[in-house]
Amino acid sequence: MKKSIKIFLIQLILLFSSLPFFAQEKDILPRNPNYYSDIFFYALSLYNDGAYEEAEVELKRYLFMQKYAQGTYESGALCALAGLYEKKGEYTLAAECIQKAIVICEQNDSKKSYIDSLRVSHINYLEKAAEGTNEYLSNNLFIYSYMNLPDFSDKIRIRAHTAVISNSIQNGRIEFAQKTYTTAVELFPQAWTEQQRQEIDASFEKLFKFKPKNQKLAGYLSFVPGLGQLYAANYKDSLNAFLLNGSLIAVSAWSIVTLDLWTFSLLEFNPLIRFMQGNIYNAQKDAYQYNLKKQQELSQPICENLQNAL
Amino acid sequence: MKKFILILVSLTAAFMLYAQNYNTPVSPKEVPSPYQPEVLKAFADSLYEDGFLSQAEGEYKRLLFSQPQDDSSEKQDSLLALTNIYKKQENVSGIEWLKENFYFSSNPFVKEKMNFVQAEFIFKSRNAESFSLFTADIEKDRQSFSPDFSNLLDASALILDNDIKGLKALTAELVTINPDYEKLNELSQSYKLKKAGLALFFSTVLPGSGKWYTGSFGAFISSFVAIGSFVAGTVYTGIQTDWKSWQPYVFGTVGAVLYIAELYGSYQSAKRYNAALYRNLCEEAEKIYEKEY
Repeated sequence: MKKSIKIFLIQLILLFSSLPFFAQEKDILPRNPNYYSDIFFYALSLYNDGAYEEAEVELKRYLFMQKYAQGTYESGALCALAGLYEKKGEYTLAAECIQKAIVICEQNDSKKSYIDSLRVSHINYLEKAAEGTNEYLSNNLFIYSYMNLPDFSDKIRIRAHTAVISNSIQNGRIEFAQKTYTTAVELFPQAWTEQQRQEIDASFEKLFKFKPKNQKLAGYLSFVPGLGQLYAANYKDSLNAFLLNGSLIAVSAWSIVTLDLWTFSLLEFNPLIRFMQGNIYNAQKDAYQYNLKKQQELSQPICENLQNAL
Repeated sequence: MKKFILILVSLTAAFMLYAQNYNTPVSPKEVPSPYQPEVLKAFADSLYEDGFLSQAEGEYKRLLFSQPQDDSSEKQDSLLALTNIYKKQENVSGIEWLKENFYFSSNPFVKEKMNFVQAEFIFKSRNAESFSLFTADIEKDRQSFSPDFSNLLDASALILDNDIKGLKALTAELVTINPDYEKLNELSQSYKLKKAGLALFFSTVLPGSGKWYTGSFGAFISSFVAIGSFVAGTVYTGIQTDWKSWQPYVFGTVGAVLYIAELYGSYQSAKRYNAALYRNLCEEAEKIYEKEY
């Protein structure tokens, strides 16, 4: 009797402890457009009226409430939130929102064209988030999969490729950019017209031929006043340096030649050193800016043509 | 045995019924309101955890004003969270507003935290008068404060009043019970000001030596060499040219200007030294505020 009571009690405990496992799946409410829709529409009206900060809170509230009862505007709210983050220049957060929206749309079997447009936005945000940083977009797992997985549409794969090419050019990885471009052309020959391809190829050729000014050499050259700036193609600064620094060097040289060492060491030596230091620094900076400007000029046709992919 | 099977079957049936009820989704009418306290608090907490402090602040305020008379844990937690937000934002007017509106409905723990943050802000402003007014204002609640906070208030008041003697005695005592005061005690025990007048006198006699007195030997050497060179240059070129060239006069003038600048520099150097000593003391106290919050 005691044994049967024991078995009975154990079974009882097992039965009721398994209850949450049975309930787990069904506990989530089915999506219903009425759940918290008032918050969502209020957020949209705030957004449309330009009250972005308030709209952001309300959208977050709507998204937060989804864990209590799921409405049907979750992906819409995430997209609107991404738009708000974009306005604030917070592209990483915008990309995260779009990523969540994509997952929700996939779960809800939304239209493929809509999901594709979200993916394009996702790539855009990831590209903007990487701008101005040293981050290589090619290392981003999302971009990598957009580029390489054949499940994605050509539109997305082309966009991912163009984003990586632009990012590589910005980061000075010209060879990698060209390699990615070649792969893109092989995979999607219809993406660019013959004329566009020719322009891109010509620009890559120019970029490869372009020899950047050597910053160290610019520095060394500026021991001769203005020569460093002249090398870096900053003619105005070159003339200034030649006149000012040249005059000081001439006066100092005269003091040394006439053995007027007191005047040289007390009055001229210190300014001379400072002028020279400034001159060397400016020449190096000019060389760097020249390289940057020239690279931007040469890569502009590539970026423009890439954006106009078919 | 039959009985047992019968009981088991009936229990299984009861369980199935119970599980079915358990799984039944709630109707839209039963969906929780986003503005009920627990939900509002959870939303505010999520914003706070994600680092959206201003937005979390708005939600906590909404919660506080939706339940003005309530002494619930949500309200106390919200007050504490708001205090934390204002501390992170270094929002002086925020903490003042919070105290003005909710101090009396806060529990002792939250009261202490509010006062802690306000004390830190006033201390950082280095305003001895405001700090003294603040401590007088919270005197009646002081018994309920933790000894650590009370000690920190005392130490802060002594620092702001420049009562280094008192601070030395206090930190020597505190360091035995709280290791956070170790560095402050070290600084207060070695606190010795330099006399600006003495630095000026030294530099008058030997150019640059005032800076040496204030602990900067390198500055002394460079000042001495610079002024010495101009003096030497003046004398040498003067003798060489029989004082008929422009050189000794230019060198002499530059040397004299440097000498006067050096006198002023030595005087300022002593002042800067003293200010740095005091600043170190204050910064160390600020670190204790951070550690003990």
